[in-house]
Amino acid sequence: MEYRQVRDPIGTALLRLHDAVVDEPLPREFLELIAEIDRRIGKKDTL
Amino acid sequence: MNSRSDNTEADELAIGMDTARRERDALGDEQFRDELVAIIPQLRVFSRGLCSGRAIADDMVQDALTRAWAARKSFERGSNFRAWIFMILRNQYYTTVRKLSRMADWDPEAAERLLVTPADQEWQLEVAAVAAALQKLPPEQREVLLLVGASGLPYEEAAQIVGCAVGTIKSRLARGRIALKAIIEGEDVPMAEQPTARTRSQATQGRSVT
Repeated sequence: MEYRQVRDPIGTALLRLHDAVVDEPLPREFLELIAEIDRRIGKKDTL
Repeated sequence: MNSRSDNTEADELAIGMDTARRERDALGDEQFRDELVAIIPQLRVFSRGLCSGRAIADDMVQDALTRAWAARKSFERGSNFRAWIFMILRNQYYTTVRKLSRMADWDPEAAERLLVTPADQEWQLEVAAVAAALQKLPPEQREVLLLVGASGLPYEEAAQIVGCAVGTIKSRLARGRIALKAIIEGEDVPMAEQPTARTRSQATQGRSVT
């Protein structure tokens, strides 16, 4: 993502923090939790 | 006798209608699941900002997801799902702080230090610096910076999650931004709004979601 809010360094820093976490691949524990939910509701196309 | 029988039938009818209404107003399991999966990244941002360390933060998010799933029938269609689940996570955080403070001789500051661990090394230097600076702020300011500044939630929604007035959100945001800037620039920052066990307790009163 391009950060254009150069006049608001704090806002930009917070957005970078946000994007750094959002862009991380979802850890295995979360995938297992989602798969468990999918199994319980009988959803076939799990992640 | 007849009137007692009539009352019983009326009660049963009312219970049946109430159950039907709840079933109609609840999200379906699959829809709830989709909402839950979609919100995970946002929850991880909030949790990571609150306690910094990836493992603790992710544990807290997983707990919140599990609680939300268990309480899914109590979530009403049309309500604000994001605010609802952010409240669950926030409660989880403050409950953990309280539990740890009991173990740490009722010292909320010590308890919070147990939760706040150094930022992970794999974070970029700049992001790690912001994350570390956030940990030096009182949680009341930190959470508002994360909700409004990082996640872009409207003031009204942040106020709903935190359980305070919109004006309070705005003033905490303003003070938090000034303090964060000063910390990043290496200035000495007087903490105007240091958290106490009492303010945390007040912040979480009446927020049970199950």
